[in-house]
Amino acid sequence: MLRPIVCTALVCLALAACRPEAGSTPGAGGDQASTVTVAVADPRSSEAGNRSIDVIAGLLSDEGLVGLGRDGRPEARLAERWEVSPDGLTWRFFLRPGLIFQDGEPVTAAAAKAAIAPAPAATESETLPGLRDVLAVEAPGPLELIVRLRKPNALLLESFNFSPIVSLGHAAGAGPFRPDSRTRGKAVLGRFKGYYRGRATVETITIAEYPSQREAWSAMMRGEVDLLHEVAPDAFEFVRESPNAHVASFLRPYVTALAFNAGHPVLGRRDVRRALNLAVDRRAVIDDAIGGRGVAATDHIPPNHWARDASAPVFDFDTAAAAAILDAAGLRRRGGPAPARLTFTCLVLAEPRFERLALLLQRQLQSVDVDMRLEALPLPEFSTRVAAGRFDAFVNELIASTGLGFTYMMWHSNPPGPFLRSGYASANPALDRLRTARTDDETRAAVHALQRTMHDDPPAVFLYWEQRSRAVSRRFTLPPGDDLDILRSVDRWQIVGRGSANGGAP
Amino acid sequence: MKTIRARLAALVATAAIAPLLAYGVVSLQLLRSATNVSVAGEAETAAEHAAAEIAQYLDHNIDLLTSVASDLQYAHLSPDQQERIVRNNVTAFPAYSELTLFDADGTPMASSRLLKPTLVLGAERPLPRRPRVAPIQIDSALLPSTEISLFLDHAGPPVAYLVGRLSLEELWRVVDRVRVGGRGHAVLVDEKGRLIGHGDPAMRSSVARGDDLLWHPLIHPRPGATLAGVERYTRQDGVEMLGVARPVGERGWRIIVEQRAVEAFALSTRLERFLVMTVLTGLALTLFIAVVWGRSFVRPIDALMHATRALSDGRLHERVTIAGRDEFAELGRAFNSMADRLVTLQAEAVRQERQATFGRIAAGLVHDLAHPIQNIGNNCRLMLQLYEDPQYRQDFRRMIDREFPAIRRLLEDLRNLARPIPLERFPVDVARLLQETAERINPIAAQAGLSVAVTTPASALAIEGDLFALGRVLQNLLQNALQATPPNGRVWLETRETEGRAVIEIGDTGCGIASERLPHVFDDYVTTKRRGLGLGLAISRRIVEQLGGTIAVVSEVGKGSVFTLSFPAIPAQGLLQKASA
Repeated sequence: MLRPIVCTALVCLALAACRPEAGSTPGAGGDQASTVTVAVADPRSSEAGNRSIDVIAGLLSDEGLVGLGRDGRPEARLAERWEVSPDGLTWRFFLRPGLIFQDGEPVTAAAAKAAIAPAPAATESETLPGLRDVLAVEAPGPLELIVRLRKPNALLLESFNFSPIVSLGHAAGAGPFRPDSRTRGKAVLGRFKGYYRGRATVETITIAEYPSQREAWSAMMRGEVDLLHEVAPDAFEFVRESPNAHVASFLRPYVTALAFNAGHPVLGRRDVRRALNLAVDRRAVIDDAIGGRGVAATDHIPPNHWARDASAPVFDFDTAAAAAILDAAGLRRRGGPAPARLTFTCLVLAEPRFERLALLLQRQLQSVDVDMRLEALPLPEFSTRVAAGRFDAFVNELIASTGLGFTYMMWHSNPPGPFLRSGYASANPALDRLRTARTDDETRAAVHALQRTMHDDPPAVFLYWEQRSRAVSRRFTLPPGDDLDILRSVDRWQIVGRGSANGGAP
Repeated sequence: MKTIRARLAALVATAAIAPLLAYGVVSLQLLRSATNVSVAGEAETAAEHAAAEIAQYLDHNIDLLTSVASDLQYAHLSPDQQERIVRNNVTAFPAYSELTLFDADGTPMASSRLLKPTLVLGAERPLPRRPRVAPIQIDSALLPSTEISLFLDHAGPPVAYLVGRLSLEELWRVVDRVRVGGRGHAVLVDEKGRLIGHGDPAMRSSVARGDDLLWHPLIHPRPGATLAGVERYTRQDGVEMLGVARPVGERGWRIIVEQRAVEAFALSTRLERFLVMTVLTGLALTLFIAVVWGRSFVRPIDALMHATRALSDGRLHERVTIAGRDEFAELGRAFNSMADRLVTLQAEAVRQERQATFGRIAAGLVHDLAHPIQNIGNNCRLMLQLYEDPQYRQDFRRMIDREFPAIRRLLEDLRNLARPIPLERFPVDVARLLQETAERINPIAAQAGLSVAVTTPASALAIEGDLFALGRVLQNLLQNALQATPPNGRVWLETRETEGRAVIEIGDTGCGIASERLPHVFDDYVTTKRRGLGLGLAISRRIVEQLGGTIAVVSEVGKGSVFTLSFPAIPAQGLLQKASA
């Protein structure tokens, strides 16, 4: 049960990060028709590569009622507007008229209802937080959708971003590209002329798996690939100066953290977790682990979120203060061959980059006489152990988005989320305030409270938000934008040297 | 004048143009030589620095690995401690992505990897005691790496090996940092000629493709060349390059610093162009100045020459205009003064000549007219007394017949001198002309005790001329001959045809003409006789030339003179036609 949810969440997250931006200029068409070949190179396994292909194909072919902007604000997608009752319990959505799915079926409130109505058998933890308070979903008209809630829920709109609307008959999406074929290691998508923001500039997108970054890059140099899905951080400098490619960077919607099990007899103590936060030099970790290409994290709230308090306190690297706190907590340095004052085991995903990160953290914690032992695990076992709460600590990327739904799922203990069972409950009040906020002020106040909580009683050592890059052939001109995942704008790429021909509405 | 111009040109060529050209050629050679040395030197320096930096990077990391090995081999460490050491060091030395300790059988004893190490000890064992550096690999993330293996003889029973995977990304940075000129870059190849790093971003894909540079002339240097070569070569894409290769340590790697030849020698080319333009400008200026100055030098000489020729041609009013205060101006003024003086002198000479001519004419007229007039006057005075005397009347008549023609001839000569009589042209039988002339003159010759001998050719000889005018010419010449020839002397007329011309000779054995007077005997008013105006020969020459002939004289004092007339001969048929007509 858990794995489908995790996969769904990953796909939804990718959709959130990469879906074409709302409000952008309608794509050009006609003479601008072209093909973009996306190379996916995941060295871990062929399976992982195949999964990445599906994720990318999904985010290009699906569309939701409401999207999520870079700052976490909802954006109108298939729903052109919405209203909420004063008590916050009734939401009325109005779909754009004349929209169709890729199979030609009209986009109706009934299809939307089917997509967002909670599954009868789904448990609360398996349901997105924004949908947990849904009492009923009604479709009084073909373009009108009513969502009735048990209690107000500020995460409702965000949840729609992860709930793609598909046609009732064929499960066809309404995104800018239509899946044409899927073979092992390759997916082909064609331009969907009925896309609500206008026909895409790009006619066809081919997503192909390559065994290694090197082969993908070589293919790009040969002109066979237009977009290298992900440039390894170590290879960034090499790729950046290439005259054949744009390199566009974006902040991944994942926070890398050393998370603790609140049920651990020592790590469950707030002062110990604070001391460990002080003992970690995030800047050094960022420099050593990801070549300086990241933003230091202090909590699980996206750095660009509109409600974030930029002046919230952060943990400064201070080993003396950390040692003092540990001393005060009674964790004094012992004599003998193993003089550590605190010993615990940290689960690590058996990948070189996480191992190196864990070793770096291990070294830093040694400076305050904390012995963090490492246990490397392959991904399936690692996920199982973390989701089951069978760990002292673990190092990994924690899923996030530009919104706050995954933050809620990760750190609210009642019920615990599908990804992580840490026993941490200190943030429950702040997360509840966030979930039930009815206004921007209430949301802002809740986020600030969550930031304070995660500083005062940190569930983890939040390390960094990693910056990733994609390489795009200079055959294309990219739309302007900073820190933007270029996959989100693929429908608006222009071939260099061609004039802008506005293909216009569907 | 040509000589002066040639000398001036030679002076300019040797004093200015030749040194300037020599300077240009020598400067170009020096510039090219210096540029070659400079450009190659810059590339060599960059290559040497990069090679040293790469070698230092490798040596440094080998030293780091050696220090890790020293931590591992001299203490009896537990496996946990060994593991802690390699893990701590792999985080301390970011260039190493993995460190693994192997026992003598190649079994991992401790590794920085948490699970199974990816490093594998090769089959070659035991390893040499010196660090072994494996060939460079490009990993799946496009990054170059190598494996360094160390032999540890005290780490564990009985021996162990420490192997580290060293990221060579820094080599790319070193290669990238090498810049020569605007687009000069470095290339790093391993011992097999495989491309490891490329400083030209456009060529990075070659690294990703694992291309080699076996085609490169610096990878396969000419026989006998060392690794550290300098070459000028043409790249595969046709671009001419200047490259310098330097070995990296002793591993067989090479770093090549190459630059487009066009760019490498751009400054030199610009300087060469500038130099050539400067020299050409200098030459042009020199030539311009030489021409201007030369002309200022030659122009007054030309003017003086022109004026001098004018003076020599009788144009005494020609003057030179030479501005300035230099010697040429002074010379011009002197020349003009001289010309002024010549004009004055000539006017005086003309005036004196006119007076002399008038005097001579007057004297000649008086002399030539006095005797006939006196004879006529004397006979007229006797007329009253001897009018009835027949002898008187007969003498009077002879006197009239003699003196009046003389007076008329004198007057005709004067008139002909002033206004020549128009000549008529008819075929003239030369022999007959000479015979008739001799017959007319012989009575007079007889009075002088002489006779005129005539010699004519057997065949008819004709010329086109005026019979009367030719007769007068012959008569003038014969009278002169008779007057110059003493009795018993010889006077003759002879004609012949020579080369299509009719030649008539009038000779005598008289007193002859002094050689200094010969050139002027045909001038007006020149005579060797006491009587006469001296117009006979002048008139004769004019008539002859009017008829298309020539007249010349050969004379020797005391031996006589020969006047030679020459006319174009015409066919004798003309005479027949005339006779029949």
